[in-house]
Amino acid sequence: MKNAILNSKIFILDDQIQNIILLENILNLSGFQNIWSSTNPQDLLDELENSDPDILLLDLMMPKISGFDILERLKIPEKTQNFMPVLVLTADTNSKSKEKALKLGASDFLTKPYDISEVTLRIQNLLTAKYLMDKLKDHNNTLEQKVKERTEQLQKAKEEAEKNEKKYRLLFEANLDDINLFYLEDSGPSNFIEANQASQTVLGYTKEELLKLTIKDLDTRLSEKGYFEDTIQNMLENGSHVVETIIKKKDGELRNMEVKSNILELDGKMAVMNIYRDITDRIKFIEAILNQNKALKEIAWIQSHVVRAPLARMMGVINLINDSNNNIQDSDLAEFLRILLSSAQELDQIIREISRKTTEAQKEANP
Amino acid sequence: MNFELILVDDDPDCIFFHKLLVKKSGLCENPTTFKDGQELIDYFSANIKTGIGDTLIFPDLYMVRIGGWEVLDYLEKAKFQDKIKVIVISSSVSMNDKMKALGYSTVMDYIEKPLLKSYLISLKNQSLF
Repeated sequence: MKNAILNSKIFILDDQIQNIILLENILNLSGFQNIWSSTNPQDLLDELENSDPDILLLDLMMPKISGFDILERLKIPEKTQNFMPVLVLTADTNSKSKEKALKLGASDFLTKPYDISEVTLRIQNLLTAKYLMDKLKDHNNTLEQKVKERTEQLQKAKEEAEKNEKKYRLLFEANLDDINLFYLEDSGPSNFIEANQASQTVLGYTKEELLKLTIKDLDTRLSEKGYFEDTIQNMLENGSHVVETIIKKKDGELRNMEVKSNILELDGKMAVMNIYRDITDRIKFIEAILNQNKALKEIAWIQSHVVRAPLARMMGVINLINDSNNNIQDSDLAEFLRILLSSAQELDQIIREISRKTTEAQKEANP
Repeated sequence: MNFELILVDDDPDCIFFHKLLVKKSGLCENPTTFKDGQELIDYFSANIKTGIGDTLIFPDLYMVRIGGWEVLDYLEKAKFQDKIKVIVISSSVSMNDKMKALGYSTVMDYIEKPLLKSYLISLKNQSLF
């Protein structure tokens, strides 16, 4: 810090050249080298256009443009410029002019004639203050920049989150299965806290109506002993659980539904997300197919047993007539019997084929 | 002939026809006939005290009232040792029926109707008991 202060740029304005020389000598002795000075106030104003001194030593009493005028001018761009302390040099001990200078932005006073150590100390103090002020300003600027960057990042993240939320909300609402959520409290399931639009078609309740209900109003199996406990247990062990149940819709209709339950943490509480799918029609279709299958099996059984019995009888009798012990002379009759027998055997083959296919179908159904 | 032959069928035509074949083949001159499983079970129950001789049974499987399956269950339970032999004669061509019937210890064969004279002749030439 000491070097930084000794390298400070010091401007001196005094209409008395001997005063400038005196100050320069004192400052040089204290180690200050970077000094610019003038007896002409206009020179100073010109120089300030291009240069940015660390301190200005300003004489108050000058002809034409006084120190007060200079102070007045310096006030204007105050905001944009770095802090520049002004040390006022005066022989005037009048408190009025001191007060005026202070009001105009002067930082301190040096009273002529100069005390050498006082000059050095006051300048050093002001430069130290200026140095610390600049540091503080830099630090503030850095902080401000950081805050700005962080704010931008947060804004971006917020926009991203909003976009995602919109996307998931769309997925949630567009789902054809009813999705609803409730908390799992010590006293049992809470009221529903969220539901998608499908609740209206699947359960018959709007979201608003559903938020006034609990799962106990929907799931008829909850009265079954152990049903709720088993579901919770399974969810805790596996994270999710699928079960078939009977749901009472708003209009009182009972529907078979498959429920996929997931356990999750929401706002620090344990919550359950249920997905309901109506499988009533599916079950009805399966039942219809099973019944048809049973009927088909019965038909096949009738084919192979009931139809074949009289056929077997016919075949037996034809065999008997054909027996070599019977001497059939009539060639026409022999031909008739041959046709009868081959027709019966053909029919028998058809029945055997049906029976074989039934057995195969049964094996496929119950391997 | 050193054994008794029993025909069991609820179809009188089949009884008539099988009886004829049995006689013609020379397997048995005078077979006993029953029109269902119940009659057969009653017959055995009545004669169990006086002792059962070697008996060959031709049961049908699907009969009104007590059918062939019940007869086979009865014989399996009654444990007549080697006195009873069974040849199932059914119009069923179902593989399941055939496998199930042959699973009984008393059943020695499963014949799909019609019963043929040639089969009975070959049977006559075997020593069954």
